[in-house]
Amino acid sequence: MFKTLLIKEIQASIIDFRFWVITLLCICIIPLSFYVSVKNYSQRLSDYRQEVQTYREATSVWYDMVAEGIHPPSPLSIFSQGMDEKMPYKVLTSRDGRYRIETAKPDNKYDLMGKMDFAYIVVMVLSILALVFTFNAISGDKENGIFRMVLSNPVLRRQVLLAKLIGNYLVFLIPFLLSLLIALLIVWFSGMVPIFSSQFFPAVLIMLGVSLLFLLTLFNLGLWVSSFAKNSALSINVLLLIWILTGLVIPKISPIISGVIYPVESTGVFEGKKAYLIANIIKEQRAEETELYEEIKAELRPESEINVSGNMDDEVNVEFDNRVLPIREKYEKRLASEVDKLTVDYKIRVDKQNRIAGAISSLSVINLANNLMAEFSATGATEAENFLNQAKQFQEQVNTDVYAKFIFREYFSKGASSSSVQQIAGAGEIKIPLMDAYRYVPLQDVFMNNLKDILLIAAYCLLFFVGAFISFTRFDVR
Amino acid sequence: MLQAIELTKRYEDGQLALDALNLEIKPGEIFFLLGANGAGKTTTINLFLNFIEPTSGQAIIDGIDVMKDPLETKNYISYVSENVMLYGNFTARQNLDFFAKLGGKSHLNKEDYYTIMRKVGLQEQAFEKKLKTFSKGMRQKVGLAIAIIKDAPNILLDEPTSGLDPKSAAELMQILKNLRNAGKSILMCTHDILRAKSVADRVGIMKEGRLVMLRDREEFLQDDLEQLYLEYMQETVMMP
Repeated sequence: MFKTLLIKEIQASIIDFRFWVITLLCICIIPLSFYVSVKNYSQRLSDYRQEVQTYREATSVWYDMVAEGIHPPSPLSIFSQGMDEKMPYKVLTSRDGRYRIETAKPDNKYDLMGKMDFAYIVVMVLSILALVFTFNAISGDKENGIFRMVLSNPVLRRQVLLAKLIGNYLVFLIPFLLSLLIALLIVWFSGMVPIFSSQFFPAVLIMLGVSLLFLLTLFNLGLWVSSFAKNSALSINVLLLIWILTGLVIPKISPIISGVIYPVESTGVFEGKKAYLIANIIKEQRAEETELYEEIKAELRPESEINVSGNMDDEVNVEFDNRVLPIREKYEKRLASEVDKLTVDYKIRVDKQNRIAGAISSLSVINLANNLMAEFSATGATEAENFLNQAKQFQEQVNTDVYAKFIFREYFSKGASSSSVQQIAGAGEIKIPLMDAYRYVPLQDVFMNNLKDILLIAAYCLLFFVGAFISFTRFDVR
Repeated sequence: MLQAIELTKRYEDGQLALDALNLEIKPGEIFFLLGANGAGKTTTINLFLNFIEPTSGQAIIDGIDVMKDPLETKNYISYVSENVMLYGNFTARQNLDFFAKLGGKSHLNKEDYYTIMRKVGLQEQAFEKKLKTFSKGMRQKVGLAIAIIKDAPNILLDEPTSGLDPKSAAELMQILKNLRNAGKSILMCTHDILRAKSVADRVGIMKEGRLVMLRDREEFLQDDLEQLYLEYMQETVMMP
């Protein structure tokens, strides 16, 4: 019986004009989007290489050099560019340990709505097509009385519902999977990203799995609304409203709401506060060092007159070098502790704001799926955090490889200051530091980090199915 | 055999659609249930088909309570609706094939379907045409073909002649007679008194959910059925 219902659903879906519209759309846009994404990736990779090359050629090793660590574009960004254009993408090291992070800027003012990559096609285009495919699956049959004919036979309602779900879903997947296969072959032949290699294919499979689960969730939602709506017009209106809320409103409004519920000052204000704090501590340190220098000078040359020319005294300098260390240590510790405190406090508050936004946005299954695509394409929040960690490590690497190879001395006295640099490694021994062995987060870790969101989509899927099941099995056929 | 015992349906909004209906339709009998719109005719059919649950009482098909084993009872019943709606993108034969399989007849071939369609008077050239191009009369014929092919001992028809041209309606009546002669229990809800007079073995008139009149063929042929019907309807109109 179920087989008869399923075959009928498959046949009915295939001869429906919507199937052919969706097929045409999928065949056109999925391979095209991958083709464009590969081109775009190739361009970004070439830009990255050029930037590294320029840095390598234009930078020379010195005690206060600024080493650059640049984030290479993720090969899987051809699936989802995610936060790529808003991600931290360059670290600029500093001798004092306070490295700076630069954020990439969108390269085109028309990018405001995001690029049409695979993630966009699945979560925005196919999601709405899934609803168009299902809105009248039940309400239509209810409306025109076909259910009266069908249910006058010895069939279980749950079989009818399952046949509708599975039949429609399978037919919907035909153009989707076919177009995706064509697209992946295009990527493979382009030679830019070895998509079928063991390095990338597991992530591709997970993204495919997420897409299938997401589309199934949308099908269940469509069937649920179609089950309780009295007619197809009401069904499509309710579904469009839900889609607008979950696809357009919630993702855009969640950061705004979290900002209102839990306001946190902007990065600009925070950086300003930090700079002010650092400047004040350094000012205090310099005053104390100047005082010490003057003290030593007075001790060693009590009879001497004030050196109006401002020349530093070597003997004084040596003594100063010996006695300044506790002061420097004290200020280094203070600087580290106060800057850390400020940074950690800011990070905690930003994280809390992000968590609130995340909680609100997880009301939207579209947002969850989009986020997962970015995460598995290494263009999401996990990768941004990974880059920040590697930036820190890069700073430490440059500390060891470059900054520690130079002894830098600074002297402050009233009205004068001087400094000296001593290189303790041989010329040519110090190489220009490069962040060339960039490590992406292992897939397993990304998966575990995002398992909660995957399970949440699965929960939505189940909830919508149960809703459809209850609505469909309990409605009165009148 | 179709039986209704004290069958009652009150909807959630309080409307009493069927009030303690007692009825028995024997094999080889055509029963016409007459009544105005909203009298409870379709509710009766819906209860036999388990489309809705009774508030009290029983609907019994071939000795099985519909509420207790709805799935089993559907093996013993065929249904033709007022406005047969089938899959528009499927041909008449494909629709027949699908519903025959649903009704448990999975061994039939194309020629069997053609034979049934000829039997209900559908033109040959329509057999492989999509249903969406069919007129209402043609769709009703396919609906009847579906009911016949299921070969169930009981047949429910809900105003099947409404919108049919006189020739098609007459053909339908002839088919019903043949089915009656084959031993089927037939319950037909209709407004069509003329057909009732020519075909029915018994008629019942429903008013506001109650069966207010029941006549055998001999009885209603002696009385003026039309007059009786109008009298009952008039009483309905005049009621406060």
